[in-house]
Amino acid sequence: MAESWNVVERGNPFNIKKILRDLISYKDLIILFFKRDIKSSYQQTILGPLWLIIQPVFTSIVFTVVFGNIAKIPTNENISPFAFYLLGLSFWNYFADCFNKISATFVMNASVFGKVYFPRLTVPISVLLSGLFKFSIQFILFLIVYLYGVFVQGYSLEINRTIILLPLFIILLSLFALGLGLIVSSLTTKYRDLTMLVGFGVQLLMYASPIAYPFFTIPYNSIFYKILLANPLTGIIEACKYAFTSNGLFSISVLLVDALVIGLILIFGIFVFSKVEKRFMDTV
Amino acid sequence: MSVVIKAEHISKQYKLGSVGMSNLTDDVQRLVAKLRGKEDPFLKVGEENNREKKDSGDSKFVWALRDVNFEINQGEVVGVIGKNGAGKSTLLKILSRVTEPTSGRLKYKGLLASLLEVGTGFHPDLSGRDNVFLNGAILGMKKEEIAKKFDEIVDFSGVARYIDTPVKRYSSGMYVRLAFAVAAHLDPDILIVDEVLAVGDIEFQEKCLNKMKDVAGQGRTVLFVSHNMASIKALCKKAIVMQKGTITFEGNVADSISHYLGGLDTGSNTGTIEPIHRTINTNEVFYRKVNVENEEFKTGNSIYFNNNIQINCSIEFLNNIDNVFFDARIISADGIEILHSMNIYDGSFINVKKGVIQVNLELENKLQPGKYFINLGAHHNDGSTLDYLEHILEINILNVAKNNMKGLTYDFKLGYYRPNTKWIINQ
Repeated sequence: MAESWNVVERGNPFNIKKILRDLISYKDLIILFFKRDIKSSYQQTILGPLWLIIQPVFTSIVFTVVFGNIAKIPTNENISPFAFYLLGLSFWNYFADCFNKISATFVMNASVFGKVYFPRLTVPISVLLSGLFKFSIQFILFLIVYLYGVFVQGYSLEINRTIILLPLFIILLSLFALGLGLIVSSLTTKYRDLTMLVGFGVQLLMYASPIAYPFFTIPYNSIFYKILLANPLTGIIEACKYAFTSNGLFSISVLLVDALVIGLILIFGIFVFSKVEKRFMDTV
Repeated sequence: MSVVIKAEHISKQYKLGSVGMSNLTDDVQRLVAKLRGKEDPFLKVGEENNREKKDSGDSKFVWALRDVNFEINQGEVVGVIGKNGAGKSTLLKILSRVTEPTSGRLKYKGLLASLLEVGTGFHPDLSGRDNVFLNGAILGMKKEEIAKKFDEIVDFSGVARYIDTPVKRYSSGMYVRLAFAVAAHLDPDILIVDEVLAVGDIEFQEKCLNKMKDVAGQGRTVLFVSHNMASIKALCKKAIVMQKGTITFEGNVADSISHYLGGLDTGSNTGTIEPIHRTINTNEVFYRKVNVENEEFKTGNSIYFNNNIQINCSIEFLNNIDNVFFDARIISADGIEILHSMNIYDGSFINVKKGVIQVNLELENKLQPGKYFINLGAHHNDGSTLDYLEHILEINILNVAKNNMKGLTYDFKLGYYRPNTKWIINQ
């Protein structure tokens, strides 16, 4: 056998090329995990994937009542409030779902990971895929409500050419959820405290992102304004809203900084994840 | 023959107790040592893995594996044997890359697949078909590879009729059949197998063993862990014996098995009984002293071929117990129970009064030369066991008879028992 030795030892160097090569050779597994998630989610339910639509619709109704009618927070004049909430929620749900699930990667899969080796990154990536599937259904729902607003309710059609950047925004959102999730999942293998923190942290993050309100309702240069700008989700979600309404924050420089921050978080995430995956079985 | 697996000084350390604040301080100490460019301070401590001694030493670190070295050639089928806690599973986990060694390294060539459990990743809500694909992919197969072998897998499992039903509706037997069928159709260069053969009914077990033999026969390298000496013997030519985290013997399978069984702690033949031998006890009856005598009534564990033996036991009864019986088993060095005797074969149940009684057993010795173990037990006629001692006595049947005139002419033995026979030869 002229093949070279595969070496397993402590402290193998971090090699992103090898990680990617392993992932590609296990692409079938990613697809199968994705199918498993989709198929098993709606086993023995009568409404099935319809639940994906019911959930954001009800949340949007609650938002309309609480934020719109009671708190009287303005939304966006170029779009119906209901469509506004749906748009924000579809992006938020995608991010939050993926982040929560990826954070639990090690804890949830301990029994499988303890028995057989495969690149552990396949699991979080398949989570992104199934998240994307759910997102696209919710996004189509938004489009229907949006077009209803334009053609029936008489809102003006304000789609602009930044719409072509939409896939890029979704990729940024995915990578952010992935990077953050990988870090949390790696840290929770030994210290479970973080699980508690993440539970309500995600809820808080939603209020620190322009989901239920437009960014420009925040007083300029207030503390909350700065917090919001520091949150990479703000720039991305506002830019998505801008693409459909020509109203909102669209700033190339903010987006570039967001992309840079997300990139750093992702690289750090993959780094700690690949460290932890080799010995988490001893502590999980 | 080329080497395909190389273990170089593999060690694995575990921390006892639960994870808590102390881990955080340990981690901080490690980090400080690392930043100062020093060695991990916890690698210097730790002790051998001995689960029986609760208060031996005060280190909270144990070495599950300590400096394990071996090489395996291509196409070899190697068994790994050892007591519980000898480090077999830890070694398998490192070999299958589930966890990494604390120090040392493992090197291997080619595609390596491991089978520590059947049905890893089976999802209860998915159909048998979906699970075959999922499980196959988890074990490292490509999708088209599984598709190609799908019919074969279903055929092997014998659950064709249920293949589109969610596996949660399967009987446990069907479940493991399907799971093993997937595993059996793996196609790696190196296969690591834990005790997964002990699934299903006898017929299926035999099918699995045959399949494993096929796999082994195809020039693949197989590492096989089992407590079942019969399947180790059937599959492997070589074996590695592990004890307390180190390799104590490496060699052909028969020698390894004898070494393993010989290395089990056996009681001295003069009577002390260590707690480790007492596998079952109800706190009413205790064997206090046991020994073996040969025909000359000298105690000792070496016995001439054809010399009858007597096993003497003092047994203490803490209560009056009615309907008691006693049994003795003789186990060969490779783990097969060869002889079994109970006093109720030639008598009846005994009512015993509180106190110490003497039970002696005379045995006509027709055992072939070699090492044997004796298990002794006291039982109740309702089937419950009052006291049971495993491997309490070790006897060594010599390959010479007392007066060597009638001893063995040929220096080989087959089987375990040489009954009185009469050959009638007509010419």
